[in-house]
Amino acid sequence: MGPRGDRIELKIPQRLEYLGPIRVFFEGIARDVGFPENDIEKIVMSVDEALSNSISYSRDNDEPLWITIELTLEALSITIVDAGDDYRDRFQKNVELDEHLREMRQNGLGLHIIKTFMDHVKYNRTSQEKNHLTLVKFLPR
Amino acid sequence: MNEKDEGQMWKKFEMITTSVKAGDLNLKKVRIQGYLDSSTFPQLQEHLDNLLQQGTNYYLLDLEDLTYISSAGLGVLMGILREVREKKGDLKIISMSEKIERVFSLLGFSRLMKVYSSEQEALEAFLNPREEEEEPEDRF
Repeated sequence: MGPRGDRIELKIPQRLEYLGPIRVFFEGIARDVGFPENDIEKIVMSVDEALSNSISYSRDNDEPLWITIELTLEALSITIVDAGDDYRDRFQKNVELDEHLREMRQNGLGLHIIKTFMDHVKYNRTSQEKNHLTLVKFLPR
Repeated sequence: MNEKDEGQMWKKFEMITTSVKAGDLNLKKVRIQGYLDSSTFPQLQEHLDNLLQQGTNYYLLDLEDLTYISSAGLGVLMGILREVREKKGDLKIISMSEKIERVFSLLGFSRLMKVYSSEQEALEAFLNPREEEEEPEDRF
């Protein structure tokens, strides 16, 4: 990836079939930046979960998703923007993993994975009714 | 690129299902190849639902060639595990890459589904079930 401070913007159709190629893309970015293998896997999985979430809860599948990637000296920051329903409540809800496993729940781990695997996660709902989910992974020292 | 139809582009997921016996138990061994994400999990879900409806309650999942699993894929495994155990059956996993094993461990799935190193070991475990309690290991 280029000099620190560069910004990459991706516009992608809301099609689950693109998740595979997008994972490959982010794996390449994370590896090029110098993240260790474990962190690369966490970044890829987190982005995948975030995009799956956006597509699954979309109100209009013709509306594209926007992904912004920014690299600073400290961190890789990935923001996913969608026009789906407000999911602040789901985002703020903490998953009790023991209970989740004990009850053998089939759904509900996506946001938990993101919050567990990334160093910082922020959700924002804009006045234009867009969801902004920002995932941050600090660069290894 | 092999495009079968509009919904099949870039889909890289295959299942190979065979019948196996462990003593008097009739099992289905399902070998999963490729990735199990939001785009491909419905195929596995439908396939396992069909097998369940046909009366199969014992499963051996071979995940050696599974390259990626998301929460949707984990959900399918959780769902089938719950269903077969309710019917006094079981599901066991053989072979898994280190990457997939790390995901299983970190999310606690290794507590529910033991991974066996060989098919023979898994089949013996079907015949001699025992309680296993194992603390998840954070391998990340």
